[in-house]
Amino acid sequence: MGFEVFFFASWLAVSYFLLMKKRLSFQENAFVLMLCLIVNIQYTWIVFEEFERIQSSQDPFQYIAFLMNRSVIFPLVITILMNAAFSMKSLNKRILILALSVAVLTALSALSLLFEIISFSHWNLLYDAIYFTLLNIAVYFGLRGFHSLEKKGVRSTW
Amino acid sequence: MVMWEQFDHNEVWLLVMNGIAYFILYLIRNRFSHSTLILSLLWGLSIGTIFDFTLGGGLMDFYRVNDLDRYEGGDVLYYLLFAPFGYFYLYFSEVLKVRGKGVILYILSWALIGLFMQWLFTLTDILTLQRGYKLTYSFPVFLVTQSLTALFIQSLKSKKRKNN
Repeated sequence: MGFEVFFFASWLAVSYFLLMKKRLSFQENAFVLMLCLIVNIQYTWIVFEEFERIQSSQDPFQYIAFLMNRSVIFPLVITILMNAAFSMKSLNKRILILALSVAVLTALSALSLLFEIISFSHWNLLYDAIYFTLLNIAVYFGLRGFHSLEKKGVRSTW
Repeated sequence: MVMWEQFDHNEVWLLVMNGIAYFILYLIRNRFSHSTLILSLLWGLSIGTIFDFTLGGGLMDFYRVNDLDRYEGGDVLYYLLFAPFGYFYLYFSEVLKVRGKGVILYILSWALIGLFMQWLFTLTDILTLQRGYKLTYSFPVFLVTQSLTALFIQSLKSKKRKNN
C-alpha cells in the first residue's frame, strides 16, 4: 500500500507544482528544488547509512516509495510552500507557512513509518521535525540571498 | 563516518581533479550572471547526487566510492567534482553556439565525456564497480542526465531572456 500512496503523493505534488500560480521565478524555484534535493539526499544518507538511526525497507516497491519521498515529494513540498510564504507580506504569515511545511513533512515521515517504508531505532519524529525546521529556515534565508543576486544580475546577459 | 580509510592515490587524484576543474571554472566564471553560475553549479551537483546516491547506494549499491561503502570525507571531494561540470556544459553550449540538431551531438559528446570520466575514476580506484555492474551501463544514465541538462539549460535561457 505504501508504494501506491507515495506514488499518488508524488503525482499530486508534481501536478500541483506544474499547474500552480508561482510567486517565485523559474530560477528561484529551481534554486529551492535543487538545494532541498542535495541537502535531503546527503542528510538521509548520513542518518540512514552512517548513523543507522533509520532503516529503509528492503522490499523493492517500498524502497521506491522511499526514493519518491526523498527525491520528489520532499523537495516539491518545500518549494510549493516557499512560493506561498513569499507571496505573504507579513512575517507572521510566513512563519505560519513554514510551520505548515514542517507539519506536512513530519506527517510524511509518520506515513512512511505507518506503511513500514522506514523504521526508527534511537530516533523519533521530533528529531525529524527539528531537521525539517532547520532546513526550512536555511532554504528561506538562502532564497532571500539568491533573490537579491537575481535582482542584481537582471540586466546582465543571463 | 571517517575522513578516509587511508589517504592514498584515489584521494590525491580527487584533489588534483578538483584543483583543475575549479581553476578552469575560476578562469571562465564571468560569462554569465552570478545567479546563473550558482544554478548551473547546483544543477551539476544535484543531478550527480541523485543518480549516484540512487545507483551507487541503498538497495542497488552498484558501485563504491573511494575505499569504503560508508561515507568518507574523501567522498565529499568526489561529489564536489560534479558541480563545475554543470557550468562547463552551459559555458561550452554558448561558446560553441550549440543550436538545433547540434544539441543531439552535444548531448552525445557529454555522455561520452561522462563515460570517460567514470572510466578514469575506476582506473584511479575512486570508483569500484560491484554486483555485476558494467561501465557501459552508465552510458544510458549519462544520455538521460545530459538530455535533462540540455532541457534545463534551454528553460533557464528562455525564462531569463523573457525576464530581461
